[in-house]
Amino acid sequence: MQYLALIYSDETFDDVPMEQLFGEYRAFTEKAMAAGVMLGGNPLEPTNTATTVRMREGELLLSDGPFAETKEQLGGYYLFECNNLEEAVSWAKQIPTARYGSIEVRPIMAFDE
Amino acid sequence: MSNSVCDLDIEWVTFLKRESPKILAALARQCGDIELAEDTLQEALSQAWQQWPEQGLPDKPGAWLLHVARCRLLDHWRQLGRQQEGRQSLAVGEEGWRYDDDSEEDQRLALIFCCCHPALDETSQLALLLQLLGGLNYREIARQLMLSDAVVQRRLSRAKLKIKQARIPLEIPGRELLFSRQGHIRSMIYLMFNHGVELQASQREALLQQAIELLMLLRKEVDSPEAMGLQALIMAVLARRVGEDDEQDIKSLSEQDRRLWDKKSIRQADMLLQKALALKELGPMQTQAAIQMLHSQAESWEETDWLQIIYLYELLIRQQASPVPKLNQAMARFYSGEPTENIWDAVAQLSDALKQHSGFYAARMQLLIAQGELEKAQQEYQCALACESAPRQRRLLERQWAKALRADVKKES
Repeated sequence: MQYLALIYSDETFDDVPMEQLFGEYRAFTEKAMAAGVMLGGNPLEPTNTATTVRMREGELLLSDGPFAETKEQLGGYYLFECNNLEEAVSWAKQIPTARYGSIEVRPIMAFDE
Repeated sequence: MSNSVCDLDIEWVTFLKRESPKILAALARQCGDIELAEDTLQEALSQAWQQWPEQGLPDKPGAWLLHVARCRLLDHWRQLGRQQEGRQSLAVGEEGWRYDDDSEEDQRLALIFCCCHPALDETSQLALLLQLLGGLNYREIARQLMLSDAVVQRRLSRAKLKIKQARIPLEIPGRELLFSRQGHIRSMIYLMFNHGVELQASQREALLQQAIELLMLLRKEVDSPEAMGLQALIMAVLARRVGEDDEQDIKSLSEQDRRLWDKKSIRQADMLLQKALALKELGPMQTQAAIQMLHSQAESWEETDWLQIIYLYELLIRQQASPVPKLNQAMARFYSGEPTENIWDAVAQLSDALKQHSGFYAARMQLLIAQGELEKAQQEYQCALACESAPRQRRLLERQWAKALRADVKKES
């Protein structure tokens, strides 16, 4: 079963210097890969690079920035392969940003053939 | 075995109340889908309903039902063309299918850890618990939680869907999580008990028994003085209600015939509480158990050890921030013979916190009756009735009021 861990935090704030945070992320990623849990994951460029796309009545509407103004912004994600939610949570809680931001864990929708 | 349909009815209803949660837990554990487990159990029950009146109860009705439900589950998977998945899933958890009517193989604890998983909101957790383990239907749950029927239905089905889709595990968690979640499970069982106490006799007995069994299962995994205390509390309360039937009115402690109480259960509860207290980790569950134990052990209402009870309420007030123990303490002081004016002041301080609580108005009604202020008491009586929706609790209030009026008439004549 696949779970997407969406990493949210105030993008203007990290609790430790960037270098250190990257180091922590590298270590976590290696650990998840070694455990065979990690299917993918990426950091995202900040929301000032975001473009929101809508199609309304056949017309393309573009706007600057993310879809919703919130205190915490989506900053990256991991895709995990886990047996159940408990296991997914046990990985999500180790994502460095979990200690000052929040991680939303969502199951990937499974379609019956 | 031959039974008339009528005998079978009673036998089978009692049996189902006791056993359904166990069978459901075993099924749900197997398929990870509570709604599907409920459906297949329902199908097995309809089949039993057709067969049992003719053939009598099978030797092991639980195992019979589980077997039939399991076949339905396989049929269901086959229809979906997911035989592979079905077979695999059955192979993986073969032990989940073992079911003996009196066996140790019991998945109810796994089910409660799933229903009370912190990934679900607390109201839904409680609703699931009351439905799946407490045996209440959604209407009864709605009445207990003071929500509309539609809201309860929606919450129940949403929670079940989340359990299935996000795969909240139906298992007893490993040591670390077990330790960190036991307190939460305990408070959920306490809430289950609190809601169960008010129910009519047949439902109450089944639900409280279920709560006691869940605690025993929990304590087998991880024991604590508070879990023992809670079990003692439920046992002490249940022991005073044996033999009541659904038609009977609720009697207040002062009216009950104490000869009917189950003395053996009270002794057992006391032993358990003593064992808990000896571990010297006091908590609100043990304190509440100690208070109820004093009531259960008093030979008569007049002989109740009010001073001790007042002291224990003091302790409870420090242990948990809730206005209800304060109200109960004030009334204990009233029963112990303290001047009514003092009590009135103590109760009045709770008017904001308890303005929706019928017990608050009932207490004021009692104080005013004691002072002979019947006109003012009548206002409190009306407020108490307005806050109380449970029919049997309302009848208790009505009887108390009628008694006060009768006493007044007697005094005047």
